[in-house]
Amino acid sequence: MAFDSRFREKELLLRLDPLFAEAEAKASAPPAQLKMDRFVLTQACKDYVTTRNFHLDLMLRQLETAVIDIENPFKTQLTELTPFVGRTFAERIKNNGKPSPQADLFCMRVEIEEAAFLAGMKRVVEAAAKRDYLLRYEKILKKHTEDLEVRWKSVVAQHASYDASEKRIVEEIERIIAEAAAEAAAQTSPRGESYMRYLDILLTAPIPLPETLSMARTLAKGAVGYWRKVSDQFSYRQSLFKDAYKSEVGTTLVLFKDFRSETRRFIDEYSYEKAQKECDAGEAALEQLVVASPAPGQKEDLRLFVNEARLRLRERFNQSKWAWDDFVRKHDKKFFGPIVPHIKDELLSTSAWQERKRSMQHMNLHALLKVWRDDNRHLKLVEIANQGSEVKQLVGYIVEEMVALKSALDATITAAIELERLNEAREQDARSLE
Amino acid sequence: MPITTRTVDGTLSCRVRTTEMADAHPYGFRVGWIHWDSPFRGAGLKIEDRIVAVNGIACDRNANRADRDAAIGQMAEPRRWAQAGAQEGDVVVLDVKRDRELLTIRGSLAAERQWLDGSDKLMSATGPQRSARDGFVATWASWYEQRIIDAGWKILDGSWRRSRLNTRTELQYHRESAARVAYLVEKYPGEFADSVAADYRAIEECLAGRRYELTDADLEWRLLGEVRAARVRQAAQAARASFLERIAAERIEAFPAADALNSEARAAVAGKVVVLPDLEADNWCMSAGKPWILAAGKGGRYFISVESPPLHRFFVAKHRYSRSVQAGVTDQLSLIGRIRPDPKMFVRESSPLPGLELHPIAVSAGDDVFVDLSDEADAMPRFAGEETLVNLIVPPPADDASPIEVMNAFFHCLKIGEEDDWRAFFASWDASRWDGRVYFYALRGADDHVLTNEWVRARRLIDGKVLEVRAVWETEVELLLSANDIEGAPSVEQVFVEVDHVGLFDGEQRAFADASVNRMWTLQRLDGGPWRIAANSRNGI
Repeated sequence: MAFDSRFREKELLLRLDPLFAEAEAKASAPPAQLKMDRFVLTQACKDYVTTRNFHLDLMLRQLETAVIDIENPFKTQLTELTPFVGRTFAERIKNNGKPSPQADLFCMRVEIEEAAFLAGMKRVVEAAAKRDYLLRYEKILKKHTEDLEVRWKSVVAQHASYDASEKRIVEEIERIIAEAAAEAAAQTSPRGESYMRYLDILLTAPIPLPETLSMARTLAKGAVGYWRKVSDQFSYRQSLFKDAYKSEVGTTLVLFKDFRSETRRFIDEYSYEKAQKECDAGEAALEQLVVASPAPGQKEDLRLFVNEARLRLRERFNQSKWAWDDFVRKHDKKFFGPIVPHIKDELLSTSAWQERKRSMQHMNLHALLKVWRDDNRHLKLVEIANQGSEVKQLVGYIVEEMVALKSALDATITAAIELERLNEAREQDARSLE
Repeated sequence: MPITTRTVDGTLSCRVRTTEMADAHPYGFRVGWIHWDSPFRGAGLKIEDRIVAVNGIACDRNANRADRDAAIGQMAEPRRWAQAGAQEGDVVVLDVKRDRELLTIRGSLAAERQWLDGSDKLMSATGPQRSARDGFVATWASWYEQRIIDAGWKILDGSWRRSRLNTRTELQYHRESAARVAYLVEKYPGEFADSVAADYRAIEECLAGRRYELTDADLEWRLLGEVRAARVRQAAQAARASFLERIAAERIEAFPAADALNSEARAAVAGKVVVLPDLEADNWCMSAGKPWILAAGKGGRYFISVESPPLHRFFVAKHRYSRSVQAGVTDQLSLIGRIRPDPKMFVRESSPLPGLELHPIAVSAGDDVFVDLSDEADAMPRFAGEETLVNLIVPPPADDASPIEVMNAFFHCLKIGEEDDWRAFFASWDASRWDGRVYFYALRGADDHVLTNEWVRARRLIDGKVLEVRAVWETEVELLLSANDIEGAPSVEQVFVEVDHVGLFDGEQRAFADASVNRMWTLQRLDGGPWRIAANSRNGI
């Protein structure tokens, strides 16, 4: 129903009786003029209040809409209403012959009171600005809620692609380790043509036979070749892993942290409390309208207007609140607040990595390498090599192979340690999100 | 033939002409002319003085019509002295209001005289004959009445300021009498000729207007727009070229852009400088309620925070440019920035947009404005060429600024083209005194299209024949309406301000008046608030 409160009209009409009684008593103007003045002013009171109500009603309707800017339309309406006061009262009475001083004073008083009302209406413009803020707030909140969802999907997808390559690399490393273990088992067997068996024969025999030496050397060379290959493969994959990891933490994690820090700033600016504060300020501004209007009739009309306007402002605030609740429901413990484990897991596959780490530790690469990197045998061999010049040359070859083997094994160990460090760094990253 | 002198009966007076000032406070009579033979010539009385009391008796606004007609300088003044039994030579003491001063001036009464040379009447004891022409078109009597007395009354008593007289046309017309004045002085030397020559010169000086010697700095505002823009554009282009030279070693091509999601690719370009192609206003996107500029190209995109401190400083400088050089500045930006190490990702139409963030180190708006933002410590960097400009941005007048200050600020807004600020100087009310009654209409702001027309007209004049416009004088403040004279109304004070419009005439800068410019302005204020241009002075210039 359209806003149509007319206390002001009644108030103004009531003023006319004493006014014209005084004008008649003082013979301020000819009776015909006074009669015409009264007619004009009576009509003016009705016309003005009708137009004022039209604008107030339009404002209430605008408060209900989802139009992004009602502050400026409100200002336009005030600009239109302002000259209408003068045109309705003073101009009409001026165009009606020579009005009595009382009629002039009536018009001037009405204009002074309506000027105060219109000045007060600037507070309604403020309230409109608050409503605009709430609507913008709601839209920005909704957009940010959606943006974060898109961003989340994007970083998770990026992580998945890095994770897939990292996983593949780790699987390859596991395979290499498994193969090395099998090879170790073969080469440490006390039977057959194993490197260790010949090494033991070499170490226990008083004078090593040339065939034994030759076989031991061949087997040592084979072992060096094998472990160089293992070491190369291991190091290569470790470096692939490192690249993938760096890309991931340097991008996915950085982006995610940036989203969180942006969201922190966003919440500072667009928190629920901020919306509440703006709504309260809008309501307070509306209250000022009633205070600013001097005449009781104005106050009564505007009380009704303000009540309606407050309802609409509150409704807009509720919409904002729902948008806020939705934002919190979707992104709390992810983009703000402490991160819950499953989010961390989605972002970094933390559980999967812990499992992979355990699996690699279970393979016990160090123990495996220890078999090959037998320092006791190496020392003994060096002693033998120092016993006589005949064997020195032959054993020396084997010692050289053992040194080369040690180096290949050290490289593998270094790569393995680096891999462990990366895993630790990864855990550190996961902790950094907490 | 001997010259005889006789006094004319019933003409005893102060030998001045006055105008009643019915609404003035204090009430009185403004002196418009002092006859050449008046005892008040040389007594200190001046044209435009307001006589407020005669022989200690204040002029009475409520006196009856007959008494007011017999006031000093009015048609029936001789009646007043006749009724008082006054004699030729009786001393008359006038209390006179001149600007803010109240002066006492002593003179005496004198009757009108006639000089006869036989049967011919003379203008004075030294001639010429009233009816003679001496080769000129009009008789001496009618010439003197029209070209000296009437002109003097019209010009010297200031009515030309209140009307819209064309002073240059009047001056030309007035100078037609130069030869006749010279002839009078030569052929009929004496007190009369001297007074005519003096009055002639006074009128001429008044019509010629106050002389100004405006400096280039005074007229700098006239260069606003194309002239200043061209000067600044040249500086902007030079500064940009020099800046590009300075960053050449650090510069890489903006596109193809490095892959924002590849940390190695990013690391390779971090810290490098790129020069982006021109960015349009629609190259903006919003993230978390904040605006960002987006520059997309081959291989990727760059983001620049609109609210970043350097860009904010650029926009402040650009705003200064629009106020002090020319209002229309393109929204097109050309941005030079340093690539930040970390990636950014925004969302547009539900798609993620990864890219690199740029830290702006210099920005141009088209070819017109260039701002070097590389000095982070400089909180208010200037646009190139700004240092060469005379500062035309002045703060708005304080609420307690004087009427002259308010008017000069109003004209300054007109000069530099700030229409909104110019409009704010007009009162939103209409207060007046008329026929002994006061009127106050609280809601009478100037009609929008009236102001628009005035603005256009005034801008045309200020760009054309009006070189300068300055408020030069203000009257005393008078109370027009006391608070609650009308129920709920504020107190209204009023003041008048006189303004010089300066034009260029015969190589001289002179104040002038004509129908297109308004010389006297009424200002009012409510309850001691700021002065505003009253409803009856809604002129543009």
